[in-house]
Amino acid sequence: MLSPMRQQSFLGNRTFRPNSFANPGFSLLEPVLAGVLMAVFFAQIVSLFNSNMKAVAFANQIDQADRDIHLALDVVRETAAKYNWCQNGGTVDPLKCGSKRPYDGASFYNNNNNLSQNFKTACEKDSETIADRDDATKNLYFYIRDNLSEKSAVNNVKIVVLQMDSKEIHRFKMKFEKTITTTYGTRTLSRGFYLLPPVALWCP
Amino acid sequence: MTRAISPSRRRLQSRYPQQSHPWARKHPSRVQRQLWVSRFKRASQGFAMFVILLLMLTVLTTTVSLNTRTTAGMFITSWQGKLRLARDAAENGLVISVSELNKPSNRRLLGSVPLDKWRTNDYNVDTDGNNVTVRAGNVIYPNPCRYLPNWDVYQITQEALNMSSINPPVKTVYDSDYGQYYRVLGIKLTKADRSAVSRSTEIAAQNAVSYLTMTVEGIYSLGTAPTTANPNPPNSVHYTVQQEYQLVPRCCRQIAYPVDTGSTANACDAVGLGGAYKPEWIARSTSQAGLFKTNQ
Repeated sequence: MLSPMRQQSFLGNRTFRPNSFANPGFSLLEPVLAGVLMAVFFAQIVSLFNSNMKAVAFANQIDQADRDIHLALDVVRETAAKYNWCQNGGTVDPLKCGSKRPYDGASFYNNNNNLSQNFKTACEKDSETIADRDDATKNLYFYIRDNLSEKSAVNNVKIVVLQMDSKEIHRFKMKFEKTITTTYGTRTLSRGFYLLPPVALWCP
Repeated sequence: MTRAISPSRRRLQSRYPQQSHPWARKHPSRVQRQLWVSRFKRASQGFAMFVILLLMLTVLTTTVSLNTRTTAGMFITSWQGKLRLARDAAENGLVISVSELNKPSNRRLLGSVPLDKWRTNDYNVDTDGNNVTVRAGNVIYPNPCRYLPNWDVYQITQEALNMSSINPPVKTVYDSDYGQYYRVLGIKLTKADRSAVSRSTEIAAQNAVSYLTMTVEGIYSLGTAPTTANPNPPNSVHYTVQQEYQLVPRCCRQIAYPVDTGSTANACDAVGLGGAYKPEWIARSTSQAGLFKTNQ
């Protein structure tokens, strides 16, 4: 294709020098080969670009699922902070606490009345590390299970209380899960968290 | 006799001094013209391939830049995800560690044993009238205050003792699943006025709020698991969290904290209990939080 051409120099030394260019005009082979090269080249670029875009979209979906899980964690923490024994059995509804501030434990538990005595009794019951047997915090557990898990308030994140892993301090071991459909199939993100409800810090 | 040389011929001679074809010397302007025509012809030869090679080079450069940018973006996203997991591990570590100190078995440590004596195995605490040596497995929680049937929940835990400093400090790495690990880097105590509590001689106050500062490092590592001896395996991501808690005294087996109502008496005296009843200390609420230091 690029056959060297020898020509006589006009400058008179009569030496022959190679030329790296082809003869004038295009051969048939040249544009065909160039066309094939370009086609392969562009096909590779398009393929690479597509796979990159898919990977970016996948990473964004995973990232979004992770953010949803953290939103759910924040909602659960906020709910746990609101949970108080201002009525027997405990509640997350501040309206049931009357004029008392929902985050001020001292206003609930420093009074030596029936309510605080019932709270103390509930705390001292042995839950045997089973969340729904813990009288002091079981209403919080039920609220999370029935009102938060897989609900829109937590962007449909599944919240599971695995166990009350440390009964003497009423600590929950929880799992947060979000399943998403991606271009690479269905994926489930899981995160484990521990939750120590503030109300437990008032238990003996 | 000197013969005049035309400028075009002089240029030619200076460019090709060794070439001296007689025809060329005779017709320098024609040589010049022929040279230009020849160059133009040669420049247009193989033009298609040359342009295509240039085009491919340009497209290749653009593609490489685009892919480098995309790959860098993906790397950053991946890094941020790992960092978030390391932060989760650190926050989990804080919850686990502070609640370790809040367990009945360890509640009396901060107000009964100077930090530097937690691991010396020779420090005694008065419990029910008996001196009990502080070490893992022993019980310093008073008998009248125990309500759970399981004896083991009142035994001092090694996890709690490991938090306190010793020379060299023990920074045990704990596995919390999903490639997440944490280790307590240290704890310290300050008084209500934020002055330091001596690690070797002082303890938390029995009649006032103190502050407990805990520093925990979260580690995310999907490859080699970090260990206490080697907490920094390759490609691990680290995130350190520091949090300060109010450390509030109260009498054991009580729910009220006397300091909340302004009492300045000993926690048990304030509620009319004494004798076998002893004060305990609960890390009750977060006062300050700090998130800092990432590495690796």
